[in-house]
Amino acid sequence: MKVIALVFSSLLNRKFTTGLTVFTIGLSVFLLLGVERVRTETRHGFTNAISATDLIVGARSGSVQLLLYSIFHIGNATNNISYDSYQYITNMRGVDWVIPLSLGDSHRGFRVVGTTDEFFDRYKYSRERPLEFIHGAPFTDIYHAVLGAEAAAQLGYQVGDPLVVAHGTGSVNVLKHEDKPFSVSGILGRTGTPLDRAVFIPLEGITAIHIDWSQGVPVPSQVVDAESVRELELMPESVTTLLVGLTSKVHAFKVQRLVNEFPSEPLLAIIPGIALQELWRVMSVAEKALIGISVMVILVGLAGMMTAILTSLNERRREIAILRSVGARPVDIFSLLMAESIVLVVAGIAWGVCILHLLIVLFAPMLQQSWGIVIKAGMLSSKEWYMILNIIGLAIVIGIVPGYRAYRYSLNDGLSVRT
Amino acid sequence: MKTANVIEISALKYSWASTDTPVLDISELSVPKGQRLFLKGPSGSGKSTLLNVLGAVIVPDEGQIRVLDQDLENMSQSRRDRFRADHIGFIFQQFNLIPYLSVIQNVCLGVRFSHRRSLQASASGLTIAMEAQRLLSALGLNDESLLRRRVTDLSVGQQQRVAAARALLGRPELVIADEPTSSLDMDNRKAFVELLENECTQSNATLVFVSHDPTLSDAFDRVLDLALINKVKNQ
Ligand SMILES: Nc1ncnc2c1ncn2[C@@H]1O[C@H](COP(=O)(O)OP(=O)(O)OP(=O)(O)O)[C@@H](O)[C@H]1O
Ligand SMILES: [Mg+2]
Repeated sequence: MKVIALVFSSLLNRKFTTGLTVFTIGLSVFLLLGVERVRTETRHGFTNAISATDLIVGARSGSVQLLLYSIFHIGNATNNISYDSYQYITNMRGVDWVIPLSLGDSHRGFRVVGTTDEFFDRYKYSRERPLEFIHGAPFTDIYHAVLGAEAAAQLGYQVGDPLVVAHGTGSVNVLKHEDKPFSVSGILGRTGTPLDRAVFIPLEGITAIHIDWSQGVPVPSQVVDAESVRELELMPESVTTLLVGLTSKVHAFKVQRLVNEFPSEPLLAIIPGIALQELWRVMSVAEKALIGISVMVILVGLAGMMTAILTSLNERRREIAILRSVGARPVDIFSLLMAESIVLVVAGIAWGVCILHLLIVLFAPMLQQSWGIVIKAGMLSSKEWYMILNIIGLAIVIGIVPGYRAYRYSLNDGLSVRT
Repeated sequence: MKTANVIEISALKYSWASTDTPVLDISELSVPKGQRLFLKGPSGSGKSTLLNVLGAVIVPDEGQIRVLDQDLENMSQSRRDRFRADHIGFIFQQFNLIPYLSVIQNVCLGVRFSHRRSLQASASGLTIAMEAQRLLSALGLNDESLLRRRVTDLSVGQQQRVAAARALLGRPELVIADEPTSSLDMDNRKAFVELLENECTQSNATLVFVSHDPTLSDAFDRVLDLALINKVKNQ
């Protein structure tokens, strides 16, 4: 089109308002894309974290709560599962394997997960990917620990380093199991799941460090030292949660019902996928509100652009009349103004995408640290492209207003350029 | 029916919308093809208004106006726009340059909107930009560095020549010049009129030239006082 080249010169002639408009639109686009990116990456991350597990069993509570504390290490269990129930479920028909998890302790802000070494074989993330050891190996002793990649990196630990488990999950721990130190036996590869921030120790280790404790405090009269503890029966009395693999997924509902109706203890079994759906339902209200606000902000940004162009029109009557006098038709003027809106919005979108990636690069590590959510920079998803196209579409619709106004001007003012 | 006249006016009346008093009332005026017409008359006598009618910028209230065998008064708005862009080179009294464009961009502005003019501008084998440069240097603006400058950085006399180059680019059949020499010094005035004549001769264009400077009229085929043919007597 003949007028496009003029658009850039004309916009550059108004650098300040142009810059401001592009900046505002950029921010609003960033907000929308950012909310969307966090939303999908969170979902992605949550879905990836549980792959091979068919059922999760815990003490009876809400299913979302169980899901959150067992897999995502968010929040705490209200109650434990007795060792007998654990054994019973292991022997149920249709159950292939059961991995116990014992939660509740921590090491320098990282959650300690007591489990069996079967965990490292069974656990899958991102559909079918198994856990990998980049250094060392699974536990061979009750005082061994395996670190998630992020935990190892942040703590700066290597295989063989000692570590002391603290009681409770607060980041400021008062009580530590200092008498029974662990040593790092292996470090896992990065998974992009909450496992990266976990410290795994054998279930027997959990029992050992608590053997001379009662009600959350050490009992001085019962002290058992680290070595003599080995002589004792170290099977735990209870575990926090069970990850259950079934021989076939068709048993899921049946096993779930049987666990839920377990007579001797109030238990809850959840199917991870279904619990996730429930979690999304809870979250979708907030998500929708956020998306709604972002869309509003986009509208405000576009309205700001329209105002800026309309304001400029008044000063540009002469410019428009001149263009008319050298042969531009009112339609050309209309296209000029339309193109201006589109150029502004496309520049704004580009800017918004830049901010998004900049902030992802800057803040993604922090998000992963405090929430375990991995947000990646990189290509825009098809959903994001769809949003961008919608914004451009909206800009075209909004651009009609100043376009039509300039069109009317140029018809009414005709070509009589008055100074 | 083709005639040898590029401009034919009969019983033309015009008054600006904001005022009811008529500005033009001309019973007859014709300009043959290739003629160079020098139009004079006191300030406010309606010279610019007449040029606007000839340039299809405004439509007369009454009467006929035929330019290049086209009846302007019956043309639609967009046809008139097209017609003006394709056939008429207009040097406006107030230059009408776009302040934020460079000299060369301003000169090429007109051909941007007319395919016909852009073809004619490059007919001699030069690119449009080169042709623009040729016109500018013929008008005494041969400093290369000047071409990329914003027009507003130029002196008024230089701006006037930029406006002239824009009107001449693409060899329009009718060149309308509204006091194009008012800001030029004596030497440049002569050179300007010479160039205008040359360009018009080369492309066999008709020239309507308005000026208050009687010393320039010698070079023209015909000198016309608007006050003599306009029945409206302006104050
Ligand atoms: N755009 C306009 N709107 C309303 N009235 C106008 C307009 N342009 C010119 N006029 C009026 O029309 C009359 C003729 O003006 P015009 O500009 O044609 O005179 P002119 O002969 O070109 O004068 P000058 O030699 O000073 O340029 C004047 O009374 C002027 O006030
Ligand atoms: Mg005038």
